[in-house]
Amino acid sequence: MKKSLLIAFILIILLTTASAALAQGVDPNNPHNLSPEQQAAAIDIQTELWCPICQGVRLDECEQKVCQQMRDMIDEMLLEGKTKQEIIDEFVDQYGVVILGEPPKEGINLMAWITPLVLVIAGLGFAFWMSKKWTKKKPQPATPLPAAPAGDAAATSVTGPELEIEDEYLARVEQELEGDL
Amino acid sequence: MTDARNDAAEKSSGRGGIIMLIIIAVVGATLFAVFYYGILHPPSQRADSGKAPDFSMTTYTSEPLPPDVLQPALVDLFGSNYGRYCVDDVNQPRPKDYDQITIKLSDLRGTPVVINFWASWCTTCKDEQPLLESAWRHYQGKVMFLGLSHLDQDKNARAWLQCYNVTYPNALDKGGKVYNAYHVQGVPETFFIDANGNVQDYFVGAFPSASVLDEYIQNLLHASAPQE
Repeated sequence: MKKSLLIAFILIILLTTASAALAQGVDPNNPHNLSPEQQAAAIDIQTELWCPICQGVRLDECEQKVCQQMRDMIDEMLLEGKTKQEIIDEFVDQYGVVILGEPPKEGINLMAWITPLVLVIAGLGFAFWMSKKWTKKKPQPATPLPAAPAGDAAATSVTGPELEIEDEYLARVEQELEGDL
Repeated sequence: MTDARNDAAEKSSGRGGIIMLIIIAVVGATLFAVFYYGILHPPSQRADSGKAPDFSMTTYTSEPLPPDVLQPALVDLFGSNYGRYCVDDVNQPRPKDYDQITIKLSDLRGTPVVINFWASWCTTCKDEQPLLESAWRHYQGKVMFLGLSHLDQDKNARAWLQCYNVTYPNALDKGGKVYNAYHVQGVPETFFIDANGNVQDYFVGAFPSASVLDEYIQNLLHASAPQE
């Protein structure tokens, strides 16, 4: 008895859910019943356009009413058979270049494209010039050595300022030791 | 010989440094100029006085949308209870006086003009629209009203105009050109242009009441009246 009641309850739930879905007839993620290809194209276009009234929010992530209208418009234009470029061109014509995520390559806006390139080239050139300057070997000035005791040529034959100074102290120590003896 | 070579290398290295410094200085000066220009010409400088920027607008068709298009559009814009905002018969045709005609602001010289920027997606515009329509009907013949919808779509804008039965000329501000020319910062915004074509005043946001809008229009009429 309990089992049949449980089955009946589950069946009622399932039927209610299914009828609600059928009654609605609209997938909230695909309100215009686009084909999988059209859905992919719609997402592709949405990721290339930006919310015209927000700051740095892409159309596919925007919650504003204006963005929802734009997404609907993209779906409708895809259903009319328009291509991606035609749709983007129409949006630019109607909404202005503000909906593109990048400034147009003309007029003062060209600065936005050229300046980073110039800065990168200048930076690379500067880095190259600095590295060349740092790695260039400078001739070391010869440090005159004090007279070393005979037979101690090995101590004075080393080169380089630090070793020469070290040898100088070593020679003095040896001289003093000899004097003590 | 070695000294000469070292001197030449040092000279070349020095030249390289100078060139690099010049490039950095030029780039720095350019960036400074761009930022300085941006500071001197902020985008928020609203056209709040002086000669009103001229523009042309081609009005929406007054042909009503078919009911099967209008109904979902109204539900989308106002919700299923759209009757709360709209006139009783949303399917009635709008007057043909301003059906797809081109209007140029400078051609209206001699008449005070109220320019309202709005959008069908704008929530606060919903409360303002009936006030504007009512004021237009009251001042028609003395003041010209122009509506410019911003970032809008034909279907939604026409559904909006049908909902409120707007009878003054309205058009899409294509590409936001007029919006940018007036440096509007959001919708709704309203500009009052006197009979000489100068911006007399402006109002940011939706008018809170008919009396506030009326006060602005009275001031506009006063400013446009011929001086004794």
